[in-house]
Amino acid sequence: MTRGLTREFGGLTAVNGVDLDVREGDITGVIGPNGAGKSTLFSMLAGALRPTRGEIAFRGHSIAGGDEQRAVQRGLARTFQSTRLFPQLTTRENVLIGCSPHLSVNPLKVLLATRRVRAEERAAQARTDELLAYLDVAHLAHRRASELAYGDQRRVAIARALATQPTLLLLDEPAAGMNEEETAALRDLLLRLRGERGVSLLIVEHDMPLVMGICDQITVLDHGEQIASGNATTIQNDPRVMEAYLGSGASRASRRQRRVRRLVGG
Amino acid sequence: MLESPAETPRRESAPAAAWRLLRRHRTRICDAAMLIAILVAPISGLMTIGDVQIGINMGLYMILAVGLNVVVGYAGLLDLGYIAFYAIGSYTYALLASPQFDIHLPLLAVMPIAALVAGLFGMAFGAPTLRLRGDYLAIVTLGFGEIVQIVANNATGLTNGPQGIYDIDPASILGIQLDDVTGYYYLIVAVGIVVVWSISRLSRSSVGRAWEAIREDEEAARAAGIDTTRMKLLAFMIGAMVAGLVGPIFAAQQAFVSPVSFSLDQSILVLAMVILGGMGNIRGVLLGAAILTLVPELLRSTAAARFVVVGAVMTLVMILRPGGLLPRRGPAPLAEIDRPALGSAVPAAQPFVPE
Repeated sequence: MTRGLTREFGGLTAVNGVDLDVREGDITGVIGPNGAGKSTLFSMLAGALRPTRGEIAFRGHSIAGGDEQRAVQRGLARTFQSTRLFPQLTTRENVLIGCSPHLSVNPLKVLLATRRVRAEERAAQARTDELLAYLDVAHLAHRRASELAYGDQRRVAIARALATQPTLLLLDEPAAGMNEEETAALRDLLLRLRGERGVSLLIVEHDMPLVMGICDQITVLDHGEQIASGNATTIQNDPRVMEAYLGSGASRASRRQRRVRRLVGG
Repeated sequence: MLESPAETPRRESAPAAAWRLLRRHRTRICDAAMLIAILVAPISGLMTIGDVQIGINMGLYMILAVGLNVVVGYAGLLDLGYIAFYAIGSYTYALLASPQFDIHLPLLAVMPIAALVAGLFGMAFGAPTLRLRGDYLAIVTLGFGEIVQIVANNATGLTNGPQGIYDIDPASILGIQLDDVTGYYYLIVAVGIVVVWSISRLSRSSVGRAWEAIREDEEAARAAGIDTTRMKLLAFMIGAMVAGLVGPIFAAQQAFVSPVSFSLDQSILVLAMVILGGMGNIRGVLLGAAILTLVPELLRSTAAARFVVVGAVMTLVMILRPGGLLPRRGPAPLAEIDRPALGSAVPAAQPFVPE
């Protein structure tokens, strides 16, 4: 999906030559210690940030133009680390706004309520109600988003992203600030999204057990470099990953461990 | 809008049912009552010619406030130079229906032209500037308002400068001249109904939702697939078109336009109407415009002291009701909260949460 993706801020290279592949139907994870360039990578994938160099291809189209709205039209939706709901609008309006890519905003057609406009609006309303029920927030439909509990806000944010009808959903630290129970519920939800709605997922996340538990492919970033990618087992056994997370001491320790093991085994 | 049987109280007396119906439709009833009052007032014999003239001014300000509300209330773009578009509309008529260039087009033909011209100016001005946010945009719009007034003052060949343009043709509709104030009054009511209907319809559609999303969080709006640049430009243009549309009525009724009528304090006054009444709520904005035209008139006998009173009233309202007299969304009507969303299993007792 990306080739040699690089973003520099002034003299700082936040993301350097990342080759990331997201297969359809997969749950892909991006992990890395703080400051590894995960958020920068995420913004570029979502089209919110223009890469300095490199390519992003999505379903045969290049979306590296930093044009977020076009990326959404192509079926690429995102959530925000902080939920970023529209605070003064109701839950239902929030989700309804997610249907925007499929609604005409030609003022003349809207004023005349052409048949197409009415049909689109009906479809959007129906999809909104379906999503509210699917994410179990239908009972909050007429509450203001700012009044919702944090966990509910998270689900509404996912509903809003799904309303754009994405084929790939980018989730920016979906489990941040969640307790174990909420994380377990999120994990079920993400698996259901893939299974029942056929949405591919890309997760940038800190919660290791969650990522290791559900991701088919994982990419590890450190200081903007892609230091490893593969499935959970590969990643867990990669010495560079351990080094990045636990410092060089850890890898030395693990090397010593391995040496010990070899000695013992030999 | 029928409620499911489970939700209607089992047995209800006739007056109670009538009362409930009245309550449910109270906004619609209020709207109808206001409209009838507006339509009947000038022919009821209760209003003097002077009163009708006040009604005309009030109507013009109401329409302007509804137009500015699109920009400020819905899309959340602070525009401090809104009156410039009113000026453009007024001057368009002044130039196309006066001895100035000896062109005499009828009012109804000029109104759409004026709206279009104002809309084009709105677009030309908005395209490069709408990327600015908040305070920066406000300063740029302030500058635009000043530029238009300065051009009107100095482009003497076109606008006759500070002397203004005289002897503007009175309005004539299908050959019939509107020579008394009552005629203008009804013309403004008619235009006002069209404008309010159109804007409220837009505000309840995908267009209005997109505007509100931009006001609430522009980045999230973009992530939801909204073309924020285009929608902001559209809000700016529609606001400009509303002002451009009614400018000609003002010019025709006054028979005279000069730059003095389009100064910064007029922009601020319309903005004050929007904020006092309630940003993003058409009824509120209309009320705000009505109050800020009526109160100074009622206090005319107190001369300069009236501005102190108006200022005090505004301050008080803003302290007590920061969202304006009629905020964007009052407590949701009961029916809306009680009605469960489609296909959801709502617990029987949903607590009513007042806002």
